[in-house]
Amino acid sequence: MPEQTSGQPGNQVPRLVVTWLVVTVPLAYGLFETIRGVIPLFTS
Amino acid sequence: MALSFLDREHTVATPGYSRWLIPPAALAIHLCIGQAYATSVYKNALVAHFDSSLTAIGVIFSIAIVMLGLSAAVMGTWVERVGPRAAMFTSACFWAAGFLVGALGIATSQLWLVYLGYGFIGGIGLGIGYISPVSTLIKWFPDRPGLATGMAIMGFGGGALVASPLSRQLMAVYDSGYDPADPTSVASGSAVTSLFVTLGIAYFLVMMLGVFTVRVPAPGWMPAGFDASSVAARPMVSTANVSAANAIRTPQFWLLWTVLFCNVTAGIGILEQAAPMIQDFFRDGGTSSVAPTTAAGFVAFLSLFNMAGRFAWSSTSDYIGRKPTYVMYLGVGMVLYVLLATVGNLSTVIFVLVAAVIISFYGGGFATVPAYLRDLFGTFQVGAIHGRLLTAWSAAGIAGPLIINGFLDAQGTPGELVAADYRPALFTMVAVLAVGFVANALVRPVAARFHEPADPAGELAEGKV
Repeated sequence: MPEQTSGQPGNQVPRLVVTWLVVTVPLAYGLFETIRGVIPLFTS
Repeated sequence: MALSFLDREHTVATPGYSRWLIPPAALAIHLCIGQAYATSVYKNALVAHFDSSLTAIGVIFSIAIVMLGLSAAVMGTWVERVGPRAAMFTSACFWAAGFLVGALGIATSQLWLVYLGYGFIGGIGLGIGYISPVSTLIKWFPDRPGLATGMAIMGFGGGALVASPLSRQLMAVYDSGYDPADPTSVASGSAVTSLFVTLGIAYFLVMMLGVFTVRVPAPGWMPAGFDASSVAARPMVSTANVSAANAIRTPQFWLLWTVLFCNVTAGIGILEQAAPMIQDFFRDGGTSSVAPTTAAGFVAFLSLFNMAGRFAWSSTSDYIGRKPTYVMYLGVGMVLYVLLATVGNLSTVIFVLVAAVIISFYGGGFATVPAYLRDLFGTFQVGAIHGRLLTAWSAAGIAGPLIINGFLDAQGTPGELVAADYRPALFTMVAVLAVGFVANALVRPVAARFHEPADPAGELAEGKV
């Protein structure tokens, strides 16, 4: 079996962007909210 | 067949399919099922709605975690056979159905329906979902299995980070009398019902992204520039395959079971008591210098390190090796527990930093173990073997709280404890970690008699047998 390339997304770029956004946007929201919760630990 | 798109043969990637689509597919599953660690958000609301006790409501979560371990262990071989898409789809159906049945239970004030729905049905979705992407990720990233599984299992930690604030805000939308910023405010039962319906539908849709994105690599596929012999040349990395049935007959499986059990037990010891623990450590004359809001910030800080440790340490294990990584988790962990017990009360900075690193090791232990299994047992049924190993998590979920609560109950009354009262429990955790350290040190490559026969057709890697 010849090697195939996984590192050439080509026209998969839009799909890569959308799928990564679907998971990173909620994660970023969760991180932001958690860091807001952490602030009292260092300010009080 | 309408559902034939779920079959393994329909999920084989075409040439050029980007393997970087697989981690978000896995994250889509783990971010959703990670909600299981955010149940405390509506716990008080359910206690008030059912006029029940915290213990009775806590049983919902306990059933879910027990079902996670059982379904991962029992369904692991099935997950390997049908492939990741069918497994993810099944997980999504169970997880969403669990929320909807749970919502029905809350709406009709039938607690047993919540046990059945969120606990039993949802717990099956948790177990299948947790292991569904692991084997596929390892096959797509033979050069960086720790990075790949670290990304997915980081999502499980991240799921709680997303679900906690989201649930508070949704309950505020469904109940105008609920204040998400006030820790004493309790949402109505109807608000939690609406929350469960919303989460069930939303999680099903997000998990479908994983279902339709995931692919298995074609037989014999290798990433460009990857030299399999370079990986096989590393110590403690095998190119042979071991079936799940054979794996549980090897001492290596039970040594790793012990390693995971000890690492999780020790971590849970801190996680279970994080908020009261930091207040008790800095209590003087009956009054703690750490306010409840600061203690809540400490819990949030630990959850960040729990998530970050999963990705960072698991990725690091690709470079330093799996066994040395666990030497660090368990060996450095012992030192940190001793520091926490002896000098943790001298400064909040020392206490917070030491606890954070301990929790990062706890998360790292979860994320690194699939790659450790791959190194020892090959890729053939690594998902199924991982499923069986997760029973260690269920066992630790019982042992960890038992140890810490048992010692603390013997020391005094909650709210009146001081740092010294935690020492027996913390030194016990050092001993637990020492057992894990020895188990890890005893891990050797699996004997050849457990290996599957040579596989020239590549069917083992494809999961066809």
